[in-house]
Amino acid sequence: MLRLVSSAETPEMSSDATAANERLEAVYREHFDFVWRSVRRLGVPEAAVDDVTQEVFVVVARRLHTFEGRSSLKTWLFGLAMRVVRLYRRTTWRFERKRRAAQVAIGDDGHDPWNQADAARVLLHLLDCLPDHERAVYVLGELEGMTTAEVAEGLQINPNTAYSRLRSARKRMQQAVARRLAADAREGGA
Amino acid sequence: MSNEARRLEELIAAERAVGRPDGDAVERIWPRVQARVRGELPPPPFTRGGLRVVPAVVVAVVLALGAGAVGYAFGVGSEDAPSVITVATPPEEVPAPAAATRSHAEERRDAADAPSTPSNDAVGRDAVDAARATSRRDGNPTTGRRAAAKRPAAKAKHTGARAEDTPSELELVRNARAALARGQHRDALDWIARWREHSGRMLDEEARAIEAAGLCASGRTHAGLEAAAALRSAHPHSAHERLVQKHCPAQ
Repeated sequence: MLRLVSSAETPEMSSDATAANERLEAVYREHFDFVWRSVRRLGVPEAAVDDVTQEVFVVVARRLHTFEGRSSLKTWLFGLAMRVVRLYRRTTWRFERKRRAAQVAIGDDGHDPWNQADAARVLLHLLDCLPDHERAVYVLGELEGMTTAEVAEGLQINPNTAYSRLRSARKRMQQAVARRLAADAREGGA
Repeated sequence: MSNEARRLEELIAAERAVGRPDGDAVERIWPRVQARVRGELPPPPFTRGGLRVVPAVVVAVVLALGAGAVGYAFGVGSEDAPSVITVATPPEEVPAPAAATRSHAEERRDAADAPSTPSNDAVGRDAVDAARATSRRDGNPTTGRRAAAKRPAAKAKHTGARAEDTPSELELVRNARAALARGQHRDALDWIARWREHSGRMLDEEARAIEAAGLCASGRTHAGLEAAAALRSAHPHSAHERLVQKHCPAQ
């Protein structure tokens, strides 16, 4: 295929760009699932997960040369995903608030919350009860199965802090499940 | 394991099983990533910002405060506006009532004609004289200098062209109260004397209380008790009664 090369682009720069693109593609193919899952678990609605994941990799393309390997690539990507998700939330918070209010009003689209197909969505809904810093630890530690040390290293926090956040998040999640069960019992009784 | 914990485990297992992208997502999104990197595709709407409510509010508040501070400092819009530049100007600088009737233009002309800051010099001399008197009384020369430095008359920093600016009534009363709290009763009375020159005098109750307390505390008990009686007649249920009682002996 004929490729147009601008007059300012030297062959050396072109080879650098090609190498960077190959590295980006390798990272993309290896970690796409993880980033997609993380974006979803950090609270982005299904319809926007693809867009946000795409933006995470756009940021990766810009920043990949700054990755120094002090943490694992996976947790570095998670940090970028957190920032992009925060940006997403900040700009769509009005819409999101209405969406969640509507979701509560109609009771999660009327699905049976304990069926396999809908259980994942219920979990994501329950994750909304966690503050952001606990949510990040919970997603990495509990859902991705990372150790507390890995979580702490990836999020650049003290291991003890990571552990206490994880413990607090577990407690909150159990309380949320208990509330959910109680609500289901009331609806079933009525 | 409790029922909630077991349910939670089930939910997590379901999320791990179901929560993954569809089969062609990798191939579908990769061209879009490349196009975005090359700048051929516009960014999605959420990356373009929109109204950042919190930063916008912060910027608005900062601008408002900045404009207010500038207006406050330079007395914009009002002849009686308080000025931070002259907060610490001494009571002695306030022109006498007769002099106060002169126009601002005359005062500015006088200030411009003066060789240096005459009022400041005069104030400084007064302060030094008072300090020397204190020093002689205490037998300690440094005490006098310190007293002069802390006295309101010695605090003057800006005089001359802006000598007509006066501190607000609130600042005068606040300074008087602070001086009283520091035990500098004469200073407190000086500030109150200056407050009497003020045109507003909305803080009459507080100023009278400070005056009574200052008089009593400085040894002028009779005058202090008279001032306290005047306060009680003007403000029978004054909230500052405790301040007066603290310094003035019971009648």
